[in-house]
Amino acid sequence: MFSNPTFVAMQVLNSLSLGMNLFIIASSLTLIYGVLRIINFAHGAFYMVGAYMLVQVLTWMGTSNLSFWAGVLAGGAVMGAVAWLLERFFLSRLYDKEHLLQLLFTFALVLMMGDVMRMVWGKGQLSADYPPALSGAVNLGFMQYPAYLLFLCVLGPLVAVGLWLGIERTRWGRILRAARLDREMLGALGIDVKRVFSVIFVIAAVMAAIGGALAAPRASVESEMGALIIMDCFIIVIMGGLGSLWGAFIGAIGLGFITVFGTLLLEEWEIALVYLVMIAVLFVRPWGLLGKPEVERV
Amino acid sequence: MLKKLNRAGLAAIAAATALLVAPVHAQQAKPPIKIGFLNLLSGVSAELGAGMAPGVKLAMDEINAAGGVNGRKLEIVTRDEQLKPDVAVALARELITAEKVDVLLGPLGSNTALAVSEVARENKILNFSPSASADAITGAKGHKYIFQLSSTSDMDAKRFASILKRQGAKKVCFTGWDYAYSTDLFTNLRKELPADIQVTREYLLKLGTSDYNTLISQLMADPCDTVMNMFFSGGFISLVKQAEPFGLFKAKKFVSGGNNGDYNIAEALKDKFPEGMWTFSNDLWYLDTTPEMKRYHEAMAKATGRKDFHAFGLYGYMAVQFIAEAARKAGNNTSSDALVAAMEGLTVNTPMGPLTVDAKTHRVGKPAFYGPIVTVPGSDIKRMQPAELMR
Repeated sequence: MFSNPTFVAMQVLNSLSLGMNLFIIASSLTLIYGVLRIINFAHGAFYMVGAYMLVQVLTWMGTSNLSFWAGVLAGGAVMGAVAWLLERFFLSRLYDKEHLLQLLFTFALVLMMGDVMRMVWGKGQLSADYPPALSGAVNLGFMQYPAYLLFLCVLGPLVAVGLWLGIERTRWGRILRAARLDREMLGALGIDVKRVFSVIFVIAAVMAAIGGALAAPRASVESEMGALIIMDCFIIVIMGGLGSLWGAFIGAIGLGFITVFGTLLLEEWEIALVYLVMIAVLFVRPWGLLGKPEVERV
Repeated sequence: MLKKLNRAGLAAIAAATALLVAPVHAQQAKPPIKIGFLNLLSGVSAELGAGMAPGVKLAMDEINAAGGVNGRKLEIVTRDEQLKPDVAVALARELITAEKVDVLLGPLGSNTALAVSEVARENKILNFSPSASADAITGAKGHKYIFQLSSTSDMDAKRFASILKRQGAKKVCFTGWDYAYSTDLFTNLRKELPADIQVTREYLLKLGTSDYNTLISQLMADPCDTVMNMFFSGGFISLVKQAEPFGLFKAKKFVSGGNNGDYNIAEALKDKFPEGMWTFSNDLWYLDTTPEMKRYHEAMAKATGRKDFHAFGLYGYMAVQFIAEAARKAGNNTSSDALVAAMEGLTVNTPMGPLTVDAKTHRVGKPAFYGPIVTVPGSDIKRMQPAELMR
């Protein structure tokens, strides 16, 4: 099996496209933690909302380039509105409370949103068509590979660079970094910290939903996908370091490779391999690969 | 006054009373034959139940319009089995004790069919299984009161073995979900395949998996020339959409179980449906093989309001035909034992021609249409051409 170079190349590309798909979602999870210090279990549910929205738009409008991107944006928009309401009326009351309450709330969201998906769309598997412009295969010489998956491989690094530039080089980025370091001081300087938190939360939720919509054609849509993806996302951000963008990038690529090659070699034992690698990483670097220990500001 | 009531008066009163009472006895109608129908109306495969219901109703309406069975009308009481064995069992009991049905029809799922069959055995009531294909229903778990219309996986395996041989397959790999429906067929297929066809490997995914990317790579790397596929319905549609840009269907020939020849699958996939893939369907609305089939298609088109109605209607239609014919043969006594005796060896003129219930195995082994799904002129939805009725 592995003596065939075409096969190995295909698995490498599968790992990268899976990893980049995961990164788009994990990056926003780590963003929420970095600024809001909230472990958002509901991130998997946000991802699911985006995916189901795309399927619905494609059902209404048929398959076309327009309907695909409209569906992706619709997923983001719907999720943005829902996230704004959630943050304004519920999450904002939990910022200064203990982590356990945040976990309970976001976990409750996962359960409720999963049930809503099942009620509206049923328990079966739904598939989404690739947009026509990206539906074919690219001839790489020695093999052909789906265009859409190559698109994901390219999109991931673009998102990473875009986020990095946004955080490092813009005013909003500076505010974000300041909120991460010392939110009280930020408030004292006259910035509306509550509004900053709202905006970060909504942006992250929108990114998760868009990540979900983009994932839908690759791996189809079903009501358990939220619960499955959140486990992957947590593994990525823990291995990479909570709050670290490039940590999430490396972690996502790593998980992509472990998942694909692990499944080929170990089949259903692949999940054990994932956790073993995570434990090994934490053993060597307890805060994750690029994470920093939490500094408590008194 | 009483002195005036002479004998003539008393006689007149008696006659009048007799005249009033007599018609009441004469008008007492014969009771209907009640069929308890455990249909699948919710969940993943609800479209199958939605497809079967009009077939059941059409048969009932036609039989009742012609006067019923021995003067008795057919009545159908429907419940939703939900593909959950404990729900189906509770509903079966309710149909037997509260609704007092004469016969149980369904459930559709193999898991629920096995569970309800036990209830039928316990309560000694005839259970006609229209579409479930698990061997165990009339095999290992069979009993006097259970009858199975659909072909079982040992019969299906014989059909597929002959197809694979005809196609010149030399190395075959199997793929499907890891549960009885797939694994039963694969086990039987290994027994039926001739010695010169080699099975390379079985690739089974956990039931409900939606990410087929790794499987696609494995299939492409496998030395087999033909893939025997048991993914069906939504899973098959997902697999095809994900696999098509990898070139999987150009690299390997595909033969498919799971009713993937049903029109609604070709409709969902349109031009993405693997061209020339051999599969089967229970009924093809666009193919009239007998005059009875043509009549059935026309009547269903009218009843459902669409020409391309669901293939599962035929299972329901035939099932009611069998139940009604057994009741007709049993005559005045429609106790379960009499119905069972009538059903054994019974031949019915179905839209697929005369079909017989084997007296010993209680199986009908319904034939199905096998053939390649190809692009046809004038339609953007692919069809089976040519279609062969295999028994």
